[in-house]
Amino acid sequence: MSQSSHPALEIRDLSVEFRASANRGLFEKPATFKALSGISLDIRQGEVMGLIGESGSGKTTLGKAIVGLTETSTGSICIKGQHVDPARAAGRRALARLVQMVFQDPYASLHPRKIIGQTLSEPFTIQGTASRADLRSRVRSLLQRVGLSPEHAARYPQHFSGGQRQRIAIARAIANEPPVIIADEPVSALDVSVQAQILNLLEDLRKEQNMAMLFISHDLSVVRHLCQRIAVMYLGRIVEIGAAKEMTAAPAHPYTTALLSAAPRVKARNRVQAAPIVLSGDVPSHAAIPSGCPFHTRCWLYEQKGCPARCRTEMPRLETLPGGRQAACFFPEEAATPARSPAAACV
Amino acid sequence: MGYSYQQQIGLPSPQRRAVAGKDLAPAMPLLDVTDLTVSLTAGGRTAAIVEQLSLRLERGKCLGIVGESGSGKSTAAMAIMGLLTDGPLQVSGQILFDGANLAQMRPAEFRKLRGTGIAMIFQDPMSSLNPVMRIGDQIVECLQAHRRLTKSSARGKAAQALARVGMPDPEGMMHRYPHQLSGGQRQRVMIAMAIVFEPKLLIADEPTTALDLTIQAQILQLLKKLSRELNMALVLITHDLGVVAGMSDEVIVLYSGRDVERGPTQEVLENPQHPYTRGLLGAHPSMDGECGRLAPIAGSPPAIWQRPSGCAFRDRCPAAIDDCATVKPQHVAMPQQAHHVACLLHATPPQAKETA
Ligand SMILES: Nc1ncnc2c1ncn2[C@@H]1O[C@H](COP(=O)(O)OP(=O)(O)OP(=O)(O)O)[C@@H](O)[C@H]1O
Ligand SMILES: Nc1ncnc2c1ncn2[C@@H]1O[C@H](COP(=O)(O)OP(=O)(O)O)[C@@H](O)[C@H]1O
Ligand code: SF4
Ligand code: SF4
Ligand SMILES: [Mg+2]
Ligand SMILES: [Mg+2]
Repeated sequence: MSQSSHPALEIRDLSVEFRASANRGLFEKPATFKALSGISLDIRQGEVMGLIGESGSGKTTLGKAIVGLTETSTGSICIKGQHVDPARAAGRRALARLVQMVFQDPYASLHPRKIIGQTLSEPFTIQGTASRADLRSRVRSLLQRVGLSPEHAARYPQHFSGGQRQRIAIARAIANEPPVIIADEPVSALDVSVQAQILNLLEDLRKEQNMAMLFISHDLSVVRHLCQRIAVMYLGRIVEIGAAKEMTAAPAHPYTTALLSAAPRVKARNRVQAAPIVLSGDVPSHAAIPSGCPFHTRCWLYEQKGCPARCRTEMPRLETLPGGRQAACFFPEEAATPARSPAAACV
Repeated sequence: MGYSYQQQIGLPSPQRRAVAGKDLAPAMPLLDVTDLTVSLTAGGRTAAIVEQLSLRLERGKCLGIVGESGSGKSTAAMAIMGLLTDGPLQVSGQILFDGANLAQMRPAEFRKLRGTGIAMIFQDPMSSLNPVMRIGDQIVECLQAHRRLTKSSARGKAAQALARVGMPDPEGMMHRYPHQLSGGQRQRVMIAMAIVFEPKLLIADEPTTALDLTIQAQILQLLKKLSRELNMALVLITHDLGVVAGMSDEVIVLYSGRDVERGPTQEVLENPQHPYTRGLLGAHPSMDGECGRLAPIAGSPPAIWQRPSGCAFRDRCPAAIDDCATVKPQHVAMPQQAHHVACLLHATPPQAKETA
């Protein structure tokens, strides 16, 4: 099989466990919880996959696992058909050629004592991808690619605005043109007026370099704008994957429906006609994941359907629906149509 | 129809006066702020963080203040709350609350008003809660600071307030410490403390910015419900136009400390007139419809010492003209009632171009 027929990024059955910080006796086995369970995901070349979900759902953990910053407990990750194993020290540098991550906080992610030119030289020197003589011109063209000017190379990070710093972080990530980029909320810390500049830049880079990107965000409108497909995460599991436009028009999981309904809309005619679905309660903790379907404690569809026992006892798997959408709910065809009147609460 | 002189200089239009005309003095707004300016002097220079902000809010209504970070939203709110008096900032302008001039109030009187008449909640509930004190004790302390109450009746009131903000198991929650609550629950506690005395005005400074979408929806719904039940006016500060769209009756758009556009929320969002407001709406990806290329606003908001002369938006404005560098735009009323814009493009009334 030729390499190009593989998805750029292939994740199979990935799980990550963390040690729970709760107090325990000296000789007790340390309690662990699963921050990620059975994640399977493909991203094609030139595709941006959005990853959304509430705080703590495991988005960053998945990103970090892919770039080798978090240890995985089960599962496999392949990039361009090549199995990657960040646990092996020798694999680290090779992995950095295959995948790079851009972080949310443009203030924390750049070294304050290094001029930008130095920061942007590092990917080339570490990988040995530019000769000393070429280094300056490589950095210059990199700055221009992300919409900065070559003169910026001599400045320190504190001279840059949040948006400019995020451009620098992106420049560092794409220096060696890795086939996969993980962008963890790269625009969340930015003002709306600046956010659009960065989104356009990412869109241009994707087209120019045909790279695959996992774009983590909690802003649905941003994800819908930039991404071809979207994966929705709840409590460490993917509950729905589908084409962006189709999913936002008609979700196949009630959690997606609730997220869509909660997204603030500027134009009155676009606001959800019926009362918005307001989920009750908080996201349960990873240490106490509900039985059966993990979403049943907050699920409006579960209530609307008269609290079927199956939702409490059986875990819905991520199934492929006609049309290629995947959803982990027993009633995917009803997820897009909440009833007008609120259902009785289930006890 | 064109502009009337009254609309141009911001006087009430004849229709509005007719409505209010029943009793000769129009009803007094709950909050009436005129020319609020907050400035900072350092190294011999002075910069205005908030400049000539005027606003009016009726009982039970919601006013949204939208702006990007650094536009002066929190500073304006703190100034209204009288929380800047001892700091390095100079505050000027007139603030009338329920007819009383806050600048002339004695500190003790103001402190009392702050607990009972006006209340405020902040973006980060963790920083306003005492981390080593149980939730119940904190609410009781706050209650006893303003009213003479026995411990047990204060505890009863605290539990009631928690129930009112939809806290699950209010009695049990009273025994918890702030770090044992989720972000949404902490914000509920802050709201519970803010509304125990049923204030007439609640200023909420980015109350949901730190929260997830689904929890944001819960908190906004709660604020709406409380505002209705208590006939409580709400100043909702946010950087999210979508939040304002769903919540507020009127909106003020702040840029670099100046009110650049204001009016009924629907009118401003559907028919924006200021290049900055238009820019904000164009820069925001839509939840519906096609995904064309976004139209970002060039550059980024200026720091307070770098604000340009004339119109503060001029170095980012695609429509700027020569005058924008020297003339500070004043508010002009649009033909739609109560819609005001501070932009030189609107300084010439359209009627001048019309041939009647
Ligand atoms: N190193 C760690 N040790 C223990 N627990 C961790 C660690 N890193 C993350 N977690 C936990 O794993 C879960 C998932 O965290 P993660 O940071 O991936 O969430 P997220 O979806 O990125 O959330 P956010 O939207 O807030 O960024 C959370 O419960 C978090 O507290
Ligand atoms: N005490 C102060 N000293 C110096 N600068 C200040 C002070 N208070 C506020 N500022 C500055 O004023 C501007 C407006 O701040 P703020 O009101 O917090 O904005 P917002 O709430 O809209 O994000 C910011 O640039 C901020 O750094
Ligand atoms: S399986 Fe049941 S509880 Fe889970 S999302 Fe579907 S309807 Fe809701
Ligand atoms: S006054 Fe001039 S610079 Fe300011 S918004 Fe209007 S056109 Fe743009
Ligand atoms: Mg994260
Ligand atoms: Mg603020």
